[in-house]
Amino acid sequence: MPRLPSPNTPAQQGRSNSSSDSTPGSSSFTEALRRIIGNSNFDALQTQTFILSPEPESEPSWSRGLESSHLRDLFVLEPSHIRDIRRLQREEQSNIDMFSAGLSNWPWAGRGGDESEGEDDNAAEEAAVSYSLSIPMCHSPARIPAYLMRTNYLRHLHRSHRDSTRPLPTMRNSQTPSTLDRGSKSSKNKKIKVDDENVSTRTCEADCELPTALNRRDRAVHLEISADGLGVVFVGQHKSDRDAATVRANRPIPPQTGIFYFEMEVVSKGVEGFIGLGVCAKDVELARLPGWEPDSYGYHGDDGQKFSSRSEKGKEYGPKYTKGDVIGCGVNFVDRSIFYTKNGKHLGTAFENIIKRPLYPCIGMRSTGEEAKINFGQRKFKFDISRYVDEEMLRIQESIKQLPLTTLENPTVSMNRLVFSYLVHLGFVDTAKAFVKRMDQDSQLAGCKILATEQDGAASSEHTLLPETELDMERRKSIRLAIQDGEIDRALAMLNEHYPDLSTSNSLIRFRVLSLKFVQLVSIACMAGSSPQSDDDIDMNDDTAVNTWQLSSKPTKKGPAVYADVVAFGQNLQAEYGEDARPEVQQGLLEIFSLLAYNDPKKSIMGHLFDSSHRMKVAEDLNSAILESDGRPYRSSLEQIYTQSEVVLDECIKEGVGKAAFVNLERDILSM
Amino acid sequence: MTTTKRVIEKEEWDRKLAEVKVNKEDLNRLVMDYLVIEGYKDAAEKFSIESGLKPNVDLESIQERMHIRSAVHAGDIEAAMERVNDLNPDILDTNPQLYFHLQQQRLIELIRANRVNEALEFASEELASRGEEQPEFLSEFERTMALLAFDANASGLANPVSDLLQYAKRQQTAQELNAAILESQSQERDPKLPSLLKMLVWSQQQLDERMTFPQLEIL
Repeated sequence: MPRLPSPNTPAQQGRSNSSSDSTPGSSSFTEALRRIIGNSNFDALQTQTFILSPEPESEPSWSRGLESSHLRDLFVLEPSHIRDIRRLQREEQSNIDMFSAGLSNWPWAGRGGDESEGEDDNAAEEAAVSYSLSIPMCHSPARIPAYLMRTNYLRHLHRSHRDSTRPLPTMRNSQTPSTLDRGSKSSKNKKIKVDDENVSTRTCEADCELPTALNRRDRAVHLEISADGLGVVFVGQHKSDRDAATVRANRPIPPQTGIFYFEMEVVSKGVEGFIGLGVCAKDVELARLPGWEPDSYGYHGDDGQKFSSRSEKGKEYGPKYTKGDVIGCGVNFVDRSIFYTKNGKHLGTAFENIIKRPLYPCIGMRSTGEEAKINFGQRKFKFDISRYVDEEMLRIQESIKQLPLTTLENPTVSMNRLVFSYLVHLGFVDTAKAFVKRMDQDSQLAGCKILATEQDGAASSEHTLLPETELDMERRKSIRLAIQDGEIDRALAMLNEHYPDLSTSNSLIRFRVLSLKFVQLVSIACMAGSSPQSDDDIDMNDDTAVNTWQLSSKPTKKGPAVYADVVAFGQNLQAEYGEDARPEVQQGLLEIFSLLAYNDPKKSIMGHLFDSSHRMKVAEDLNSAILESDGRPYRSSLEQIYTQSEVVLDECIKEGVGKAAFVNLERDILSM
Repeated sequence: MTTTKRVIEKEEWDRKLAEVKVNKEDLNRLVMDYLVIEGYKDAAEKFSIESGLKPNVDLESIQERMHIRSAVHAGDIEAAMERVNDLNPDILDTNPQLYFHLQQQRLIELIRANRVNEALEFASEELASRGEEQPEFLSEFERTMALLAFDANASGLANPVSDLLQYAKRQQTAQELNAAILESQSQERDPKLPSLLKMLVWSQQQLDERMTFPQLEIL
């Protein structure tokens, strides 16, 4: 098990503490917590949740990112945990980068196939039995060939997995985190049967899995497949074309890869060397060579010809190939074409406008003794596919750059308008003023000397900062600054004065601001406690034996007073929001109250609540909420453009738009 | 295999939009990048204070670029070119297209000011020969000369080359010059903000081929 705050240990430790102490609470903080939420709730909390656990020795392992073994362990936990992990992974992009960088030496980044999967009956049974083994193996990014690491394929895996693990709305409110029983129960519901392709292709997971081996259940009788699923040999007697035999891979190629590449090494040419490599649809007859049927494409070794129709006549394409040669096949979903390579050399495009049906990699043979090994990235490729992918990526990015913004009458004006509205939205009043000043200068130039179009006129009037707009911006800015500086009371007072609707409403943002105040009180209490002062005791905790708790061991004169503040405010919060069913509220309460369980809350797992970045986030959301309460959009136009692009790109990837595999907002636009 | 286009309803779409997490600092960087590259020095300074974001370049370097840009915006192309040459003579020497566009703008300004004789002289001395050398500039040159045939101060549909007289033309020239200066200082030539818009336009085009969804229009 990972070292997630576990449900058992804290309770035990809590108990051992209370048994050795004369008073039940081990500190004034826990005592405060007891007072806030009441005795019975407190006991329940102690046994149910992790919040009373002492500070962990180190960061919990799951925050370090993508270690598949941890992931695997975690999959027996609650879906909500899995979401957290996914979120962490997304946030810790640097970890992912380091991870992939470290593995990029290997064409098959990460753990090698330590067992053959899917087509192997035993493996399939195992997978069906144990969810905790099957899903992480499918989804651990560690199993993606290196050339796909920079495409959106990885992201797509994450997203589709996230979607599939999203709990039903009913589960969301009722379940509290981390009991093993519940975890495994809910995971059973999502078990997928890897051995039944018809079932698994319907699930999102299977949709985007890669071909990894040849499918011994999807082969012609003359062929024999090796134990690892990567070798194939023609064992029957051959007489005519009717003895042709093909084997398909275990899965079709997901278009989400953008480009998919695999190689075949000819081990033996057998009697004739009638070997073909290509892709074909699921229902293409197996007693044919690749390319002899519709929906099938192939490049043959005996004559170097390419085949892609019912007629058995091929077309000149590349050199012949035979024993010892390594032939590669690349399917390009960007322009829907197929190319081949021989011994690392690109042979040019073989097929264009390939069909839009799911395509399976396939190998065909036609004479006794022919033998080949296929490589889906488990071993190093002969051809430098990563470079090819990078080039394709650059080409697409360049084509987007060249796209004219024809929908905009005057791009400069539009751009300025966008920036200006962003500044107004955020309440950056000084920036907006400076910006407008320049706009004015520019539009004066435009107005008096040049034929101003209607558009220019409209634009310049939009760039004037009306007095009421300015006042509103100033107010929002003051509130933002107050929150960023930790002056929550001042912020609340201003909120009350200028935006009374918002401050009296039952809004989530109000709760979050109040939570900030609680955190601030805890912070004050901490500081008061850590300054060496008199021996005055705190009335809430007489037990000086527990000296790990700074507050009780080093109390100040101010101590009891600030302490009472924490308690009183916490009680108010609990009274007002304790029954609030919103998960965000409950989670929030849990987080802030859990601060009291640590002897140094700022260094605890919840320490981020004290960060200025946390306050900044609340300040930003408060600003948005103010605007929304005023009938203005919650998100600035710039943010809307960003979110829209993200969702559209996501949908493109899901829909299998090949080009979309190579476009990434964060990487291409936001990284600077 | 023809399938009807899938339709995503607004409700579902809004839910997807709401799920997108936006890093506000990324957006701030995008705006800062725009302010710096487009030369809004004062605004960039204020923005740095208000957003808490440190600019990645020395804001002072914006100043000269701004002067040059203002000169173009004001129609004083000669002054702009002088300043550019003071800054770095390579910029114009190595960039014939930019040089031509500046000269063209100069001609436009002469025509706008009704200094017809000067305009003709300038055109024959500076531009005509260049146009002959580089035929790709010739048609643009001819279009510019056509301005002489119309009344510069009367707008109207009748004038097919009136776009040259618009402020947007100066903006365009200023932008080209700005980009060249940035490049000479090994900075990014183009702000990222337009790229974001292009990304939106591009991705909506791609998805539109496959499904019907609520599109976002940029104004």
